[in-house]
Amino acid sequence: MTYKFSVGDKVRIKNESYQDVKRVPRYIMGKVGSVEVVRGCFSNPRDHREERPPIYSIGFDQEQISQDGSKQDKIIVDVFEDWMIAN
Amino acid sequence: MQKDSGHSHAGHDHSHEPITKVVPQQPEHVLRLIALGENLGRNGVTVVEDGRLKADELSAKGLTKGLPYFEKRLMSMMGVLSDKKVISQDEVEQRKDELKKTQKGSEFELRVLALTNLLVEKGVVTQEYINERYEIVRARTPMTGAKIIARAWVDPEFKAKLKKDAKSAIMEMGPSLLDANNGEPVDTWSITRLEVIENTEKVRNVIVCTLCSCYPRGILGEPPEWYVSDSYRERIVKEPRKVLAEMGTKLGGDVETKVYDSSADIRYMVIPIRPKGTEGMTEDQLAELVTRDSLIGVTDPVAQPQK
Repeated sequence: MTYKFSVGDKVRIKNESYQDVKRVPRYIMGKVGSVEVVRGCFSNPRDHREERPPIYSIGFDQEQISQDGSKQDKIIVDVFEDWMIAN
Repeated sequence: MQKDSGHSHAGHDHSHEPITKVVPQQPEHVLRLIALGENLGRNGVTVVEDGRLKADELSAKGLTKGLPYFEKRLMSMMGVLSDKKVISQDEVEQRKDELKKTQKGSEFELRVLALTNLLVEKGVVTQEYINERYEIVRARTPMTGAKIIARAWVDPEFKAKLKKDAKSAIMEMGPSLLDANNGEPVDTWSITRLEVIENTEKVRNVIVCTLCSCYPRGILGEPPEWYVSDSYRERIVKEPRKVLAEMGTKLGGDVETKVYDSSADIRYMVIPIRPKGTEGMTEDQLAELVTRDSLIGVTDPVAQPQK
């Protein structure tokens, strides 16, 4: 299985209408992060009916998320590939 | 730390007490509700996603505002089952009112019972299977997580494996987790994938689920009240240092924080730093030091827990 992104890639999270959102926290929409880990695809019939795109753990600098952030702080969010755009 | 509920400082007050003393068992009807939900998942009637979407929908309509966590879960479950025409909400209400004539209990308690009875009568689930699942759910406590961490502290090879493939590493512990898990084998069905991340002197890892309440229940049981509160879920990603300080964890300026938001299929658990002064302790003694909150990353175990 090949993945569209690899560790270190900068990616932007799509910014879509909140109504359509499934499992993407609003606070990372439109934000740029970098791929920390390629988690890959795994079957999860407990959570979903259909197969899902690969998952990546994306690291965002805390400063991008809130003004209280400091330089050493990060938020790691697991994002499905279809929400990611190369940046 | 919470301003929006009556359960403020639940994490703070207990953060240094041994796990065995801080986890009150959920009441039976709550455990039965959890077991029922897992049954519906295991026999393919619902998937977790259904419940999440329904919870979002009910919340957007303001229908669950202010309700306790498990009452929200029951409402989502009934909503999903009603959409799927498995059961109607009226049926459940009617049955609940009938039960009220002969049984004691809160509306919530009787509603759980009414829903269960109806689903059994309709053949959607079997009572036997619910009872079996109930035993599994009831057995779960964070002591299982504590035992896993104690093993990681004393056995570097195990720790490496745990960080690489957590579920397999845990399954290999097998019988040595039985006591911690109230005599039941650990059941990780509810965790699709587990990632275990290690705190160091320079990196502080913290877990949250901002979208709902993802948590490695199979090895830690139900999450604490503060973990599922709106306050924690909103604030930990905005001001992690402040929230941690409120919970008793003050970080030096040279420590990096990493907040993991479990938004997809992965669940996380933290390996806290082994406290100093515990060099001579056995694995079992060490497990006694591990607190539930330290497995979420918000506090640290200390060498001598308060009595």
